[in-house]
Amino acid sequence: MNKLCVKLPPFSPDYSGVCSAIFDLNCIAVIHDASGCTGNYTGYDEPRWYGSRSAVFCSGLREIDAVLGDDEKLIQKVLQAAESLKPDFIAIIGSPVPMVIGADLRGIAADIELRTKIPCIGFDTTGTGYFPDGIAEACIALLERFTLKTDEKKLSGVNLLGVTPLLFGSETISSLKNVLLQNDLELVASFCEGLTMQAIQNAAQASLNLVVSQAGIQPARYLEKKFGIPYLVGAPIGKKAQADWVKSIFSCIEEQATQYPGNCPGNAEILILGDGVLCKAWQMGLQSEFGVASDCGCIFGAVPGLFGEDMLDLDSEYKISEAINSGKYTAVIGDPMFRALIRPDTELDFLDYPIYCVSSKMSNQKQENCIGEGLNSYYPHFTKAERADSLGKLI
Amino acid sequence: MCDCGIFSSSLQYVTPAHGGWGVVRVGMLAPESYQLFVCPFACGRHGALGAIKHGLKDRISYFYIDQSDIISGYDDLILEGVDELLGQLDKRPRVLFVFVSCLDDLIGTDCDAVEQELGRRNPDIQFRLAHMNPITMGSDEPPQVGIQKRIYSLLAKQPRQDNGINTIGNLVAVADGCELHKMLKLEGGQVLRHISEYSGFDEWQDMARSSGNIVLMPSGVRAARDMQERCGIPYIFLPVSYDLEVIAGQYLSIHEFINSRVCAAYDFSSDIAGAQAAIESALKRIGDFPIFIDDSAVICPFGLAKALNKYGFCVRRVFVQEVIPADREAFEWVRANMPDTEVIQPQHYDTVNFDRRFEKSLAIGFNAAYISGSRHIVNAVADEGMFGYYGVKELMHMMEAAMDTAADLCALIEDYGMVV
Repeated sequence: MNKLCVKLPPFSPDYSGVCSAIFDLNCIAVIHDASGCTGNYTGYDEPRWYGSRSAVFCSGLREIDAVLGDDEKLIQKVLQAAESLKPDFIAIIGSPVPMVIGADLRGIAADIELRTKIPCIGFDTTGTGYFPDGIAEACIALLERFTLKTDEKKLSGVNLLGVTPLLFGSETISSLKNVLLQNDLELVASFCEGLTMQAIQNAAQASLNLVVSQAGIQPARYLEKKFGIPYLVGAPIGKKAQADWVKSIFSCIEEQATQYPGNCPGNAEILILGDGVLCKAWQMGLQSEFGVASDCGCIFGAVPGLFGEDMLDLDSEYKISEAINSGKYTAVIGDPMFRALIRPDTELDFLDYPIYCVSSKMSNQKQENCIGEGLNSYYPHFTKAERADSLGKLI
Repeated sequence: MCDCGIFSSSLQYVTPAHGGWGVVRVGMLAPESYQLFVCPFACGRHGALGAIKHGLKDRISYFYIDQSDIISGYDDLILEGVDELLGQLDKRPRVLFVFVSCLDDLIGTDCDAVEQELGRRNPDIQFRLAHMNPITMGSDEPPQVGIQKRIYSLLAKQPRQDNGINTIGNLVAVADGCELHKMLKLEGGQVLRHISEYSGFDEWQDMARSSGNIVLMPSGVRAARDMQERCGIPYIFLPVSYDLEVIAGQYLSIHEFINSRVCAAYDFSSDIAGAQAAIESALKRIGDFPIFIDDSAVICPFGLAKALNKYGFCVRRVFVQEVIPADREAFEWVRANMPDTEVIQPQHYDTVNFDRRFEKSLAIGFNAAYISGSRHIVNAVADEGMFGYYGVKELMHMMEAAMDTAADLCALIEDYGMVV
């Protein structure tokens, strides 16, 4: 039975992923819910919410509207707000109740678009999927709707896919973008942090898509199919890994080839918990910098295109707990919330790497920037301070 | 009065200052209780993180349902989930609230039957099927009413009543400094009881021995009514007021309510004098500095606006999402007598424009402060700890103190741990 969750908080859901993806745009985002779902997003899934002017709203769904299927009430509310706020587009975002009553969110969106002449997109999010699904769905919808076909390719132009505050701290995102800048690569569009409508329109001008979390894989596949843009899966965690990443970017651009990271053979002694693509990046960084083998514990489920015995599908508290306490690992890297799963008789070290989609603001810790050399200064501190005995071969 | 979208049903904007205790934290008031949420995982995120914030996560778990469970119905899964949970807990709770979320209102889970079966399987535990269903807001049993009703349904009728008086509905006990304690002690030796003062389930049953319930928040009325029917404990509804005249009337009502024939009535003159002195002092300090009030700070914001206006303060804005019946009369008074006071719906979509910045202001409540950018903020939430002349005095002190500091609103909000 994997449905019981005793220690961990639920992770960020799909509708938060959609909202997060379109946060920077001049849009009206309406979560079709009573209040709690919107409260999840504004209170715990959006670190940029305080002080922002992002127009994310709750529809104020009530029982009688749900029972009667009174979509017109929602539509009228959206029309009023659109008249006042003049958005570039409107998003209608699903939650558990619309799922149960079978609300046709795409149909509602089409109706609103017809009446307002403003692009309107419906998202069938349900609150039963994780945020990467929502980000992916939002990105694909934006790309389908607004990205222009072009023959003008920017040879050194790249898009970032899967950049999200739900996984990356602000310093990490800045570093990621700086790596591109320092290597004369032009960032065409950053999905989804610092995104603009202009960038979405120009996204097809990129020569390569850089998928830095699993939320970016489906949009990358869409862009490959629709615009013939290849993609590179991975993130530059560790000094050598960064050099390899940059090298791969140029070779992928030159060969116009898609590339996934390979397997990291070895007897894993570390378990990395988190987003599958990011875990993989950590794994490769630890291997190349310190010669340490690790397993990737994918807490948001299996990652399309990433296989192997080192990729563990840990989509429940039970599975995560079993992996942590399996006796196989001497250390775990992950959000501090996972510490709660360590049983008293399990001996291992734990390196905190808080991610917003798990602990939100409750970890009271800043996420360390592990892009490039960041790992080289962060990880040895951990090994020296806490793991010197058990992993004496390191550093 | 500027009625910008006043009390319209619009898309709702949620500021970082919006929220309150949430049903999780309220339910946790029940001593030795545990909570299991049976819902899609998304429904539990804010409650779980709020519980972590307040150090309550060790009393709450989740049993996630997916789309196929919803289609098939999950009555049996609740039973399985409870069995599995109880197998994992170090200590069996005295009470287990099994929460379902909004969607359950639409699929017809037989909550009564499930509750009965859970009780049959686990006779040492009292089960309550509870609802975190904001979809019922505006009905006669929204979540905040429902959870209080279920909490107090755990109090069993006692053979004898004593001199105790309960306060119901308020989530924080009336402060020790309030004259209500002294009044009750003098007029019959009564003690004032509140659920937050109990850590043990058995000791908490003392509240069922009390001879009366004073209901301070509207969300507690239903629970008090049930207790009257079930336990024979009468109740009186007295929402917290900061109006000296209203307070005098409330104390008279309490005097009559506790049937204090044998004892001399408590003399409030020093408490009244203290409140009046605090008002004068605050008025001297604040003068005609603009004051904004919001409905997160007090249950009856129009009542407060009216009181402050009578004292000579300059109330320029009242942020209210909707007028509750207990505040209706004051609302009408404000409309008729305070034409320069704006009434603003904080959740209206136009709030996102943030075109009502007014830094040089004193905000009573976080939402008013956030929307207006107020430099001075009274750190008050939901009348917590307030009542009577003490409440007036305390509020005046807080207003005066707020004038002397530029508040860090973000820190205040984080400290409080609001949950929508």
